[in-house]
Amino acid sequence: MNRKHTRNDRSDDPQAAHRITRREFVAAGAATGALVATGWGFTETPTAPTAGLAVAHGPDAAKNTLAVVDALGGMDVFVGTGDVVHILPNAQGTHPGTSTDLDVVRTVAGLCREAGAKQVRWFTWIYGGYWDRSNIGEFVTQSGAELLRIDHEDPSLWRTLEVPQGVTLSTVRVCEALWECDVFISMPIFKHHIGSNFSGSLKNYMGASHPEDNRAFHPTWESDDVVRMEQCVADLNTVVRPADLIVADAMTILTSKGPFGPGDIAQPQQVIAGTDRVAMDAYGATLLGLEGPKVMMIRQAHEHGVGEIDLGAVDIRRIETA
Amino acid sequence: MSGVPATRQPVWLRYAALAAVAVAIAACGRLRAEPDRLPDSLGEWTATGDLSEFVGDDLFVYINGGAEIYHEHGFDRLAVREYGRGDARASVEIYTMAGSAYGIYSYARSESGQPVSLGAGGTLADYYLHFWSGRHLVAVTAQSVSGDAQPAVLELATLLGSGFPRSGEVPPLIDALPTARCEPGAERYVAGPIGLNNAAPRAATLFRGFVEAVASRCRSTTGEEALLVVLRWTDSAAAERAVTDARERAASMEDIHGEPVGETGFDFRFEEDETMVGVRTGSMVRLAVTRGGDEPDLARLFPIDNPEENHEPQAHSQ
Repeated sequence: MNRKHTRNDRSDDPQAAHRITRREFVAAGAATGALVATGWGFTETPTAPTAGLAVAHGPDAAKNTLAVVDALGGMDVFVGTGDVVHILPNAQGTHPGTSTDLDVVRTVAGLCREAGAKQVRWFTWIYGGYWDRSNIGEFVTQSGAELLRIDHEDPSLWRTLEVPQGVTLSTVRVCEALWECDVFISMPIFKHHIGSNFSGSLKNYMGASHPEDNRAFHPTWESDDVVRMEQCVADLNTVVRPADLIVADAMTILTSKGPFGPGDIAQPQQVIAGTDRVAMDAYGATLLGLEGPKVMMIRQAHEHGVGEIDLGAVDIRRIETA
Repeated sequence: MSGVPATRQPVWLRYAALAAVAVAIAACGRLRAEPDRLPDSLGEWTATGDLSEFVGDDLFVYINGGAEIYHEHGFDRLAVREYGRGDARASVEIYTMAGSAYGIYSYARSESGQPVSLGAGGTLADYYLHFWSGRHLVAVTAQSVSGDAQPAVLELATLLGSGFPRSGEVPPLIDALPTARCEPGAERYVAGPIGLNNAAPRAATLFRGFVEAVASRCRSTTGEEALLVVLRWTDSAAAERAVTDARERAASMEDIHGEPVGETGFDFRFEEDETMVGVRTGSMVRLAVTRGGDEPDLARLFPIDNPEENHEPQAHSQ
């Protein structure tokens, strides 16, 4: 399969007429945001998405996940009948607050199937054994979903991209799996990272870029640049396929000693969904006591035109699920 | 009969052979040691999986980007095993470093944890515990943050701790901090740019190429709080160049206003009301960072007269 950003023809889908497309959703979200930004506010309608970001708070991760996807118009907005869905979670290990919550993962997978997805695949280049040590790997195995293990030594599985806007990166290799699907869903966890201070939607793409390239992102004496990783992540985000949907876990998050921990833990008990990586991370940063514009990775991605950094310009819909 | 037999090996070759044998013996011992320390059962805890070992760059296989800080501190190998007791689950990681594990321990431990008497020193947090011994850092981490986690990891770590000597080498540069006035458990030994960026981001923005550093939150003799950092270069010329470079770097940055203070000092003002003042003495730079606009008083923060130009490491135990 080599479809790129294509969606299935839904002319034979009786529900299609009632379903808005992702493009319509994004346009509606932008219009809503513009209205809010200009002080007009908006009137909620039952058929249109009403949020740029949806934030659900409560002790039940699955309920929160259902609530945020519903607030964005439902999974039908993003996944159609017969679609192949590729999902990129953060599967760091078993230390608390380091991997995308298993209930969030389960719920999104279930919603994709309910929306008619033909295949739900979890993908990563991560080395053998990595998934096996994480609860997510166990879930994928038990649920019968397909796990794409991207061999980082097989060049046919990687696409070398020029990075014309790159400040630090000039080229980067990204796995083809990012494009070989109808729908791409990114599922980060917001947490601390020693190399970039923050890890979220933007940095989750390092799960799709080549591990050898990722290693070169890290600061060294030779690079003479302690914020190298943050710039590299911002550069990377100018050339990757934007996620059709981002569902971020902030139930239990690591606020120090990231990305692996163990370290300090916060329990915001939130799940956040949206399509704007920069807005998602600007919001996520606040959960770690940071301000998005002061996190270089987020600021640089915004300056690259990847997304909106000003949360005042983003329509945030909050839902209590408790 | 005189002269050297034709078959006699050169002296260097014999030493090389002996060294190779010694390395092989040491390696075998090391490979044996971790399985012995991570057996199938520890008290009431039972291993829920096999022992995994990661050597050198393979650490990325285990902790991905989190591996960089361990490599900065001289990572050699890691042994991991998970244990269970009833519903409780915990992982045990034994990191072996090329030298003293104090540096990576000072990074990994919880700054708000409580000290525990394991190995050369340990810290217990709400769901995890670290202790170090010689070249080893041991981390015991519960897989949940429930109220039962802390006693569980303490019990498991105590069972492990008996296998580790209560000694290790603390880097002498730690003594350059006024430790009696520093927050207990907050001293950080820094081995490179990643660690400095985490411990003292403002210093990492400006200073490059140091050999080692230490950092901690401390109080002055009159009670003012500051983040103190001591950086050491190979020699005084390198330190002098680093200060010059830092001044130039600050001059090129929009959010920093810098001023030299005499020939060896500096005074940098950052946006957000942060101030960094410091002075070079020989191969070392001592600096302090404060918030709120008050200029740090170095004389009250570092009341040390005429520190040695070169701080040669001296072995001592904790």
